[in-house]
Amino acid sequence: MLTRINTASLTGVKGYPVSVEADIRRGMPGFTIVGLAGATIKEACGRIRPAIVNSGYVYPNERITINLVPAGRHKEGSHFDLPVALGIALREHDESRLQNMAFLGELSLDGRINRIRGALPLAMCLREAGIKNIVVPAGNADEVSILQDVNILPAGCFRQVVEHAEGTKQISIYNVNKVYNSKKHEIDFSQVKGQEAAKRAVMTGAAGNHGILLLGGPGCGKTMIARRIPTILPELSYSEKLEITAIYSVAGLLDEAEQVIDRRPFRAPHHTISPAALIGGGAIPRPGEISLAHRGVLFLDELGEFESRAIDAMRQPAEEGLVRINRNSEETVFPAEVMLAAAANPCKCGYLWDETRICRCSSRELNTYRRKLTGPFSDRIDMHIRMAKVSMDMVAGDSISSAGMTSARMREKVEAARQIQKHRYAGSRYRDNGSLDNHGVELFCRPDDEGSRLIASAYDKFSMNMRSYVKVLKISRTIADLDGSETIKSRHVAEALAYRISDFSEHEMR
Amino acid sequence: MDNNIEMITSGQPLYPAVLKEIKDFPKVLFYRGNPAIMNERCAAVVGSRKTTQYGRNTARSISARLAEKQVVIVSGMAKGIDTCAHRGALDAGGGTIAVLGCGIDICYPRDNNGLKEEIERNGLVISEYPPGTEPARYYFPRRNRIISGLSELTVVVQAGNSSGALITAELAAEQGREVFAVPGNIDSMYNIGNNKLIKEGAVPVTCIDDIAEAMGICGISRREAEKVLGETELIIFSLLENHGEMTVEELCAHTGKAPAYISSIVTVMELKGIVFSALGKIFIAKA
Repeated sequence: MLTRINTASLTGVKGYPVSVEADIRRGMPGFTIVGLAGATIKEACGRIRPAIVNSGYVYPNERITINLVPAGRHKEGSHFDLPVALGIALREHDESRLQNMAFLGELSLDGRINRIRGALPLAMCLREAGIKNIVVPAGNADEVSILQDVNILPAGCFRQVVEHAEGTKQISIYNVNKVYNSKKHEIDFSQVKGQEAAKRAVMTGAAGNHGILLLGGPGCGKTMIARRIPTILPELSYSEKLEITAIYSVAGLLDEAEQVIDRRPFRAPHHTISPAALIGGGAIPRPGEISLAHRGVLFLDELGEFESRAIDAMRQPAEEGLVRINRNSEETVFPAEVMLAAAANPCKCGYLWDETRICRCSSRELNTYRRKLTGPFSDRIDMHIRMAKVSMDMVAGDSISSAGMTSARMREKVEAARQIQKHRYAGSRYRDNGSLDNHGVELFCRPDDEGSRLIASAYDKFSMNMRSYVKVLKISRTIADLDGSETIKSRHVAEALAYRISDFSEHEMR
Repeated sequence: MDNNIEMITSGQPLYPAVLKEIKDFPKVLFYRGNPAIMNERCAAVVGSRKTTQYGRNTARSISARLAEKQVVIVSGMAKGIDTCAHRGALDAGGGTIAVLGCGIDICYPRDNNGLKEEIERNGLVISEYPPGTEPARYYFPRRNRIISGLSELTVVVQAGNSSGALITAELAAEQGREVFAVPGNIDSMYNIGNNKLIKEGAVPVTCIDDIAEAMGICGISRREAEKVLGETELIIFSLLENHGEMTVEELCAHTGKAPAYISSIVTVMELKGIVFSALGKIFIAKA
């Protein structure tokens, strides 16, 4: 007797439909599973037998062969338990009824169905394949319910699933259908006192999606500012929420209480992180920090302390907006469109250029440190934001704090500027000002005459190189966009020059 | 007293304090011009009467540069280097003091009459000798103690082997003031004196700004800044002058302007070479 059950499998964060074929016939009793099943699926047999028996069904004392179609792709995941068990346990069934159903779930020995990883991307590919009814573990119901126009059937135990498949007792459709309004952030830029200039700079970075490097001594508020960047990025759209939740689902990072990611992520990996953890990897590829920060902010605190290998590995993904990992001749792709924010002390000890403390770095240490900050990764950093410690009277003085920009106001400006960019780059290969290459800069970032003169004189005066020149142009484009001005005027260029990339040449170093 | 000649005694508040530090300061000074500039920061620029083009040019440019930084140039109004020193200061619009070795109503050398009048108008001419005193050989070495005594430091631009400028240098050293000497061509007779000073421990002037730096005035002066800055830029400049280093933040707080505006202004000032920024702080640039 042959049964076909629909389910799905994952590569990276993309699912593909799989059909589980169960063949049960007379012969030497045994259990064989074919179709490139991974270790978790191979050992499913051990869970399935007790689960079926404990749910009150008969485990056939016959020869069982399971085939996973398409047979040529590697499959992995404990969610195959449920379709395989169902294929064995279902005796009498209506083939056409099963065709429009899919099953995902991991079994406990007592027949209960456990929460799984990657429920959302799996369900998404099934929906694309046209399957309308998806049985998921009850613990994943919230997560999958974000999908529209499919019936989500949350199942708590194996018995429920069998009865539903046979049509004797239906599982009720999960109809919570939460309206996922983004929750308010608890943090806000108005809490940052006396750093209006840095806030303005960060807003510029966010508006054009520029990579930023915050430079300043310890305690000047670099991390505080970076943490608040997600609060000024545009609200997530529905499809963006789907994307991000899918990534977190695959990584197993969704909280049971809050199963949908509805805010832009902020990831701040420690500087001891390995390359694999940063960009993703493993025998079964898992998303790394850069993918977990997709559509949000990847913050590298103490950029100078990161291992060069890790930083190097990030270069390509940051440029392309995705991570490619090759395993067993299969390519796994993780999305990685992030806004990069990094922070660094001006030197190893942190007290360079601070007159209350003395910098203890040797000139050799200064050089090594400098090389790290200006190394290969600096391609992705468009802006250097220099910050100084806030003096006491600035913190206490109310003249500043009352005039401070709130996240809401900054977000409005960012959204307006991004809207302008969206119109400008519609139909081109660029997404935003930050993604412009040299050719794009030539096309879109031409200052007016006065602005051109200004940047030309700055080129000599600040002994800039071509790379920093192009970046200044990109930033001045964003500043003009923030200003709602189509032409890049000299005041825009002048402000952009304040955020220019420094090569930490002499006077800035000591 | 006739002919606008006035007198000041060592008891009067206007009498410069630096001059009182020396051993045998003059009890009385006769003067024409503005006596207040004696109390400003002064530097002596001296040298011999016989000079080369190099010496004259150097004297002028050193004086001019110091004058731009509001330093008053003190010299002896003799021919050669002294004349060039006064000239440089006057041309740069700065103050200068001529210390004479004769009565204040007498012009010695006579050729310098025009210069003397100009100094009387824009600076100060002083002498310890009463009006009508004719110049005498031994007056000149004596008045040199006033030249060095008024000044924080003395620069010997060019001096032959037995120049009076060497006496000034010696007196300055005795008075505990710093002596600078401009190095010169070692083949030239005109430079024997100043080169010898360097050998004996005077500070060599390796570039024009060495002297200003020694006086601790290496920042750009207001006068220089006014030439190139606009209105808002000058406001920022004065804030920096009064507060030393400042962050963009503090500048915004003091001017009530937005950070975007202030950072663009600061960048333009940086382009003009008036300020420089390092790690979020803005400083007045070194000249």
